[in-house]
Amino acid sequence: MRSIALRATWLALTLVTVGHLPDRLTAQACRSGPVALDARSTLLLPASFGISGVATGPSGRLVLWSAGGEVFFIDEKHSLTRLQLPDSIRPAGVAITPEGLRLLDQATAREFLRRPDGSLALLGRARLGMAEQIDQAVWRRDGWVIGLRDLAARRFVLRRYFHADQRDLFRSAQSDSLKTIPRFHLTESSRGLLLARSMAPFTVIRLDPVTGRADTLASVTALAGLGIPPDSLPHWRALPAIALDCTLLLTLSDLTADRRILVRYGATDQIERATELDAPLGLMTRLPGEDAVLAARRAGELELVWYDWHWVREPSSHTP
Amino acid sequence: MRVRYFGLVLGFVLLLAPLSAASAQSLASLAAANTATTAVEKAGPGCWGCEQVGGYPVCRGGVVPGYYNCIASVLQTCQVSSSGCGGSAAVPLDPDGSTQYVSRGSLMGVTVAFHAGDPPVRRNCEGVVVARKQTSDDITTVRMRTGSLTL
Repeated sequence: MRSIALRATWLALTLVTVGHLPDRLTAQACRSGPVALDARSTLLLPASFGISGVATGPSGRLVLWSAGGEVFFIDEKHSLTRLQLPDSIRPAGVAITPEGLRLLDQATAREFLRRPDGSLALLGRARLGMAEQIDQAVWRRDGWVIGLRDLAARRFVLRRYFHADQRDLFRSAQSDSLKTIPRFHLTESSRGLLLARSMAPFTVIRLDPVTGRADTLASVTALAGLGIPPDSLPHWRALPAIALDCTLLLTLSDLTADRRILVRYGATDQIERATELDAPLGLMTRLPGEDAVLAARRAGELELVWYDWHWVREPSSHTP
Repeated sequence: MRVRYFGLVLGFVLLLAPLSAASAQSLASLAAANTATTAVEKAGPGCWGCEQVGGYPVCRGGVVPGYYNCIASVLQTCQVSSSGCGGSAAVPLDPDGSTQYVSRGSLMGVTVAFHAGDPPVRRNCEGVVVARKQTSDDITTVRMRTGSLTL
């Protein structure tokens, strides 16, 4: 009798533990709440270098590139090396892979591999229509996701490119004119691909690349007290959204001043806080494998800033 | 002979024009679509704007100290930073949220020079900052304000 009672207790405890385990794991993997960022180190970039994109790799390695085709490699010790690419290549996206740097050319949609010895190999070419222009490409696990504008259809299109798999993942609504085709910044997150519309209303969309499900987060411009007069909105831009677990950070920039607004989204996709900052700073990306965020700051010249981040208080948990 | 020489010079200038345009597009790659839909710009008082002359957009208007708009170039063509010429959506951005013209210290290949007494910030007709000069105090302030952030 006592043995049966012990077994029943053991079984009950096991069931309770197993029943809660997935929730706990998920909660640990997806937390949200106020965050604090503390600058750890900086790196001054060469003068006259406009940055178009950044790619992160393991062990803190980074690659930056400009629209003019300049590419810089930054190693673990934050030393900077200029990489030589043929003039004809203008990267729309770069990925740091074990084989070398993968590059997707903005004009031709050709994919190249730059090996560690500096040699370049053509790997393939993504499907690109006559009236399509690539804005950005991000490497996602095993292939590219390309953000482009279809000038004929007047839509923003998100297209996968992995060998023969070149299906469209997302198409925006048709715009009235070429000038109003929306442009989105693409960033990776554990819950899907993030699309941050660069101009008002700064829509943030989270896209599941497998199912194609697109969730639109709460609108920034609907936020009362944001302090941007409606007639000034055309002068504001959004930078890429950054995911810290289930918290999202979005930088809004005033092109006419140093004013920035850092918007924090919570796990329920609602805006929880907007922080005004009177300094030319933008959050760029979360660094993989560490609790750190990379930002760009203008202090004389443009410089990179590594921030350590932590929860201000015990974060709330969320089951996606 | 003189006519032939003039033809050579004209040919050279015409050859430079598309090169200049190509360079502008590489600087602001996102602008490509918009430059194709140039609208006639009504120049505001004191600002440079764009006008269509013989089917080509050209810069017209006055000059406001500290403001950079259309840039004088070969054939005086409109450039992507000018209001109505390139469209504000096309302005290329650096990740700190400023226009890339600020980083480059030049606008469409033309160096922005700061002389004594010049305003520290240059803007285009839309008010967008296209060049700036930060003092050491400015830099210290920026570093202080961004050392720690609570969001």
